[in-house]
Amino acid sequence: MVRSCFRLLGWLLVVTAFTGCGQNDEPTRQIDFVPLSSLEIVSQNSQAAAGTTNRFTAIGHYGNPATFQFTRDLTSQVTWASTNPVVLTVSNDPALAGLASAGVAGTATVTATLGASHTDLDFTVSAATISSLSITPPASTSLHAGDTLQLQATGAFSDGTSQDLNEAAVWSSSAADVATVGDAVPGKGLVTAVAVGTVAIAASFGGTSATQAIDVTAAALQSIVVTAEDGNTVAAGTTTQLTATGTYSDGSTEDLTDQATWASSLTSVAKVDQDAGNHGLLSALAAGTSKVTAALGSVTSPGFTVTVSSAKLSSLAIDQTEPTVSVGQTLQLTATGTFADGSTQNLTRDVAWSSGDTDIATVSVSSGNEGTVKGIAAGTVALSATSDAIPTGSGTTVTATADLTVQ
Amino acid sequence: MPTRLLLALVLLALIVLAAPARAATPGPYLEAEGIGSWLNDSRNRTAEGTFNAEFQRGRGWGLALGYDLAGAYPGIGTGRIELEAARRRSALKKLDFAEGKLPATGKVAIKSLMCNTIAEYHEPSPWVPYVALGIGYAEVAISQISAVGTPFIAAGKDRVLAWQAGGGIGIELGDHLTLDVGYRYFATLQPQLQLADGSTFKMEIGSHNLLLGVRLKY
Repeated sequence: MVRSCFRLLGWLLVVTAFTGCGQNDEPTRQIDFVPLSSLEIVSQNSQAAAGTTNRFTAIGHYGNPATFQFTRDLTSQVTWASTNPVVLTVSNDPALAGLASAGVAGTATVTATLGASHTDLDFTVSAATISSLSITPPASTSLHAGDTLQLQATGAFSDGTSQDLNEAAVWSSSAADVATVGDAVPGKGLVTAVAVGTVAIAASFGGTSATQAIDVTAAALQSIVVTAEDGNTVAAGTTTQLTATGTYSDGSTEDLTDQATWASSLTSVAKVDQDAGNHGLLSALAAGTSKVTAALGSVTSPGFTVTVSSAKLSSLAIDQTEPTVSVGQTLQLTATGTFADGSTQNLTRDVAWSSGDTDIATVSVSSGNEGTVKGIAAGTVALSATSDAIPTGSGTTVTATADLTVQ
Repeated sequence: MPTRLLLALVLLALIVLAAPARAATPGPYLEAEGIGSWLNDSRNRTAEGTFNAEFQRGRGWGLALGYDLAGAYPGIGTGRIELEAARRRSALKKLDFAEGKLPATGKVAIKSLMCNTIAEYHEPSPWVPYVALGIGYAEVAISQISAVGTPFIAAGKDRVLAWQAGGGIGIELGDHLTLDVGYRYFATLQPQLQLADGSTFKMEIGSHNLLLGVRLKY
């Protein structure tokens, strides 16, 4: 009993070393027990022209500088008010909290209240009129289908001031089937590229307007994912088909297996065929692990880990028990192998197919069409699939047969 | 002369003067221990998320009543079994939240009652290395814990299962007296405690402990 204590202790110390020492993940709980010490209103602009909008933000200061202090955005928690709603109104709508609409020229005091805390800010609405409107980014912009871009409208006013007019401006698109633009808060000025073409995005305010040309190009490939027909583990001496699926900026997907450039990190374990007709066909050569990638242009998939097992083939079966085909028609047969470790794998490509009487039916052995039978004349014929080069547990080949009826 | 230096000199003298090896004999023993404790930073789970706690170095004491099997039970092995009562106390240093770390005040005290098995390796020398494994019960008690002067955790306690593992060296100073210098990793299941607002949270407890003990064998 006491001696076994050494062994158990060793395990415990190893476990402790990995799990128990100084574990300290990033905390997620917010401080809710330190009282709010002060509120502050931050204004987007120092003043606003009549007819425009202005965003106010409420910042809460907690704690005190002598010990610990932090700030929190309380814009949507405070209650907003204006002492002069004719001049300025401030929204308390949760989606628009702090967004003020400037009515007519004058002054107003904006207040933000949270419980017993409140603060105020004097704000001036000027009678300045719009002189010009501009959109940024100013140069012609190119977007891939599916991409989005936030445009910014800025107004120059008669008193020499400039102001963000994103929310006050009216946004429109000359061709909504090419690109749309948001005209509701939130999301004003947000361009979404839809399809290939050219579009003019316009912002207008107070009789002035500005436009921004946008070229929408084909959706851009954003990522590639590799998958395997038989999962991550395959037996040495067999093949499996890999598939590369690309995802584009517009959310669409495409099979890129034939276009991708394939690579294996350890070609002595597994190699991937690049030849026409066999793109993405992985050959498992020897037991081990290899990472396979598919690349197209500048986009490369994450490594897909393939484990090649040393399991030997135990048995082979043709999945179709009583296959039937009409004269002149074809039928795809499938051969499944069961290995010594209990795993199964589709071996249709890896076995040697043969027909007992090619005058009744033929079976294809050509690359990509293995196991396809064609009825030649009415009758019954024995078809066979032989393990051929696949390593077997017995050391001899394994064969599966099925009787095909041609009608 | 500083106390630590004096303690180190006494320890050195005891080691130098350690008695020559003698055949171990079975019998009961009593051991008194002084403990230096370093509580791990703990991750604590509340309904509103997690917060972390950092502790200062703590200290404690222990008292063990046991039986030295010596070589009397070769089927079991050479070693000891004991019942150990201990108390450790650590002060809080900081609480860590999503917004940052706050200086905090308060204490965590852990009382434990452990059943330990100790496997010893006897050589023809007065130095006896050992490994120890124990399981038992612990009472985790916390005082009111405040951050920046505001109470955050309410005073309270909970009883949970505890375990410890470690090792050390026994230095035989005479027929009946052994100096014990050892290390223990001590941990418990997560006690459930209360925040100041009445809601509950689960606290992680794990600590590294250095102990210096004197064992008197009868």
